[in-house]
Amino acid sequence: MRIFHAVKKELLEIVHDRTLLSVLLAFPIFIMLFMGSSFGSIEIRGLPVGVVGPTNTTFSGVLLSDLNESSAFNLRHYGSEDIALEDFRNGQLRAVIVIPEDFEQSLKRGEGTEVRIKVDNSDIALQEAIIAAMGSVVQASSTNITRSYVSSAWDDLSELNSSASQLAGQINESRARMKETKEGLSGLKRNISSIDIERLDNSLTGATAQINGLKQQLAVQRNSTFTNDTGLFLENASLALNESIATVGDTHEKLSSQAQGLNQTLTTLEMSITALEVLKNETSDNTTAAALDANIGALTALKNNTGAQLADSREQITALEELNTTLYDFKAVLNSYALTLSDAKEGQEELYSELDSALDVMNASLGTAHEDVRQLRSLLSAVQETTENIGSTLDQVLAQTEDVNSLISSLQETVEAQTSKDPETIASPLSVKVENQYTRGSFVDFIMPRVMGVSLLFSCFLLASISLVKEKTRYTIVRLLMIPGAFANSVAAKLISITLISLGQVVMILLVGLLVFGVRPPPDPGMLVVGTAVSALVLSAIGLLIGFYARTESAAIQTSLLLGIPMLFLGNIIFSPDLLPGYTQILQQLLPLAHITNIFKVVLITNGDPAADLAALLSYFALLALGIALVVYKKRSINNYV
Amino acid sequence: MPVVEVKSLAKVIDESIIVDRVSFSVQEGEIFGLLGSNGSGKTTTFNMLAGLLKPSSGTAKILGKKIGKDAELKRDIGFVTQQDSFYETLTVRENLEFFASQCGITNKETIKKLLGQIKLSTKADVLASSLSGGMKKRLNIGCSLVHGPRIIFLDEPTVGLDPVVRKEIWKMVEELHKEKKTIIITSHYMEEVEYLCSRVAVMFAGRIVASGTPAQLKKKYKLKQMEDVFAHLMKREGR
Repeated sequence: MRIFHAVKKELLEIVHDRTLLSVLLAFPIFIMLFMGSSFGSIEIRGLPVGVVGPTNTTFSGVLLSDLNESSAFNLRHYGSEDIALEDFRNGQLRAVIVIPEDFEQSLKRGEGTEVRIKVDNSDIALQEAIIAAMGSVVQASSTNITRSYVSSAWDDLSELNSSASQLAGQINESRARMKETKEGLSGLKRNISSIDIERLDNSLTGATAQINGLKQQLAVQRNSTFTNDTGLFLENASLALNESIATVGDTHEKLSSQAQGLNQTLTTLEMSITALEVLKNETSDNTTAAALDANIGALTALKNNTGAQLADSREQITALEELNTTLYDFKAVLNSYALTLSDAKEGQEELYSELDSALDVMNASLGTAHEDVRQLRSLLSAVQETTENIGSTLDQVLAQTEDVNSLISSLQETVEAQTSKDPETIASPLSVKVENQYTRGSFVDFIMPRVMGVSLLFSCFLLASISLVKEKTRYTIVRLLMIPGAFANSVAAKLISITLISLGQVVMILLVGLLVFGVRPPPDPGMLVVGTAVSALVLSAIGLLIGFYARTESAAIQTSLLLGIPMLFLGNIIFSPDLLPGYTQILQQLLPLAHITNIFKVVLITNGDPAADLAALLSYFALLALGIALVVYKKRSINNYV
Repeated sequence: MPVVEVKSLAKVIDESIIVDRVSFSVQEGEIFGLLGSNGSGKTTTFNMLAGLLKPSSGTAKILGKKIGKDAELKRDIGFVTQQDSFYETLTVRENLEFFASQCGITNKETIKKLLGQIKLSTKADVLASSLSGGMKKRLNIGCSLVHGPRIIFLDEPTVGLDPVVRKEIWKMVEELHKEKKTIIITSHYMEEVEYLCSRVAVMFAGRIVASGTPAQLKKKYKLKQMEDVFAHLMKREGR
């Protein structure tokens, strides 16, 4: 029974402490609701990831599209790896994907390629989640790329298969032609063998001898007097002709004078006849008239004779003129002959010279022909040899074309075998190379920010809240309230002293890490001090607010745990906030511990710039300081505390 | 001229009347006692006079200044709480130095003198948690005297102490009285009140039901002991 009463007393104590009771009731409900909703399904969504490299090619497009569709990643494109890594170090990115420059070409060549992923290896859970999600997406992308690549390759292979068939047909045609060529070569070889070069050579020698004979005959002909005699004959003929022309001229002149006399006689006779007729007509005497008649008659007869003679003369003159013309023509002919002969003589000389030269040329040509025959002889030998070589080469080519044909057949079989396969089943051409972004002395390096965060969280919460509760439970707050400004001064002093204690704690953690675990010293100790101080101020301020409302130390501890444990889950201490559902990620940004852990991480691991997180904490502190000031002002009556 | 002048001072908390229009005055250098059983409103009246609690109605003037209007008035008041109100994890000297520093006093001689006054010079560097009950009470009073207040409020300073220690405290109060300090003390130990106070006021349920010198009250109610007067008054008021 005593134990029953003791238990009852313990329970009543708790029931009567309303703050403690509400914390005890709220804590399990809150933790269960919070944990259940936050960790029901741990997956990453909308994780900020930088992408560097060619992004607008076919295959990189497939990969990025798959990454986008996965909704695990929120891709941000960067022009250079350095800029992306700077954002990575500053905590704006959780990973960086580096697509190699030859990504497209490597895949098109079917060689496969490697996508590098730089991950935050200080956060193992997040690292594993990113690698798993990325691996899954890349596997899917790989299949898509394979499908795309293989489909394209299948088309190419089918085209190749068709080309190979055509080539095989062409090779067969070529083989047939080569066989014909081979037979033609055999005939050519026989024809070459039948050519009698000796006979040709002998005929050329005979021709040379005949030309030499011709040359001798030409020399004899050249020295003959035929043309000279003919020339002399023509010259004499020409002289004789000239004499004949002169004679004909004299005769013509004489005959002309004779004809002129006859003509004058005739005219005189006509005039005499006319005058006698006039006399007769005028005479009445018959005798006279008869005498006149007789005379007229005699004169008429004379006249007729003279006329006849004149006509003869004139005919003779005409004949002479014709003769003269003929003689002149003949002379012209002779002159022409003479000229022709002279030309012929000159032409003969030229002809002889030309003939002589021609014979010399023919002789020379024959000499060249001899030489050509000799060359022809060796050429024919070479042709025969070449023909034999071509024949054997053709044999080899024919044999090789048989090999090519069998190769083509084999290729076609392979192509048909390959193209009948499903691209889905073909091995992945794309692989992921995970690169750890941060080097470390030991894994403790990565734990340090969390250790510092946890240490500050609870030490600041508990120190501040319990310290203020103690002022109430030990009534020192009454004394402080009695002294003007002392309570506000004391609150500020608590913030400062807890901050100094926190700095000492961080130094101790660092020393243990350095001396026992060999962690790396912080690259920027000044920033570590600033980060610790700001963090401690914020956490202590929250602790003080807890202390203002908690009536007992137990309630202060419980409330600190109630606030502290969710912060542990959301503050990048146990779970990476990126792995939590969206609303918890927003909540995480509203809670200070994630910023505190980030500051320590940036200062100790990434060597980035913690400005954003520091600004967030300072904003917190400004709000908390304002809240504390309001509480101090509102709760200045003693009944608020004791 | 009274240094403390209270008129119809009242305090209502959560619709309960804790102090019901009390009026009294205290002359300079006087030791005034507020008597009453537990829950009669003595401490609440003290808290209002010390400026730690805002009155619901009525007025109170200390050294001619209205309470709650002038924060600097607190510098003339020493408030000794019923419970020990110092830091047990600090030494005696550290406690005194801290409270003195909060009042702007950093003179070591003042602390040394105060240590002698509260008879803790030999315990100056001992943790407060290690002190005996009487020593703790003396330290508690000492912490209220670091700034040299003219008026000292002592809220049941001897409660829970053995008779020897109680008399030590009485002696301290007498010494303060000799220094012309005005002292207002609450107690339900009648012999303490009779021994120390020149005038008393008896409170019941937030009201003052009787006031005067102990002799006047004994004469008025025709009783020989203050305890009997107190019991009579309690009976009369229905307790």
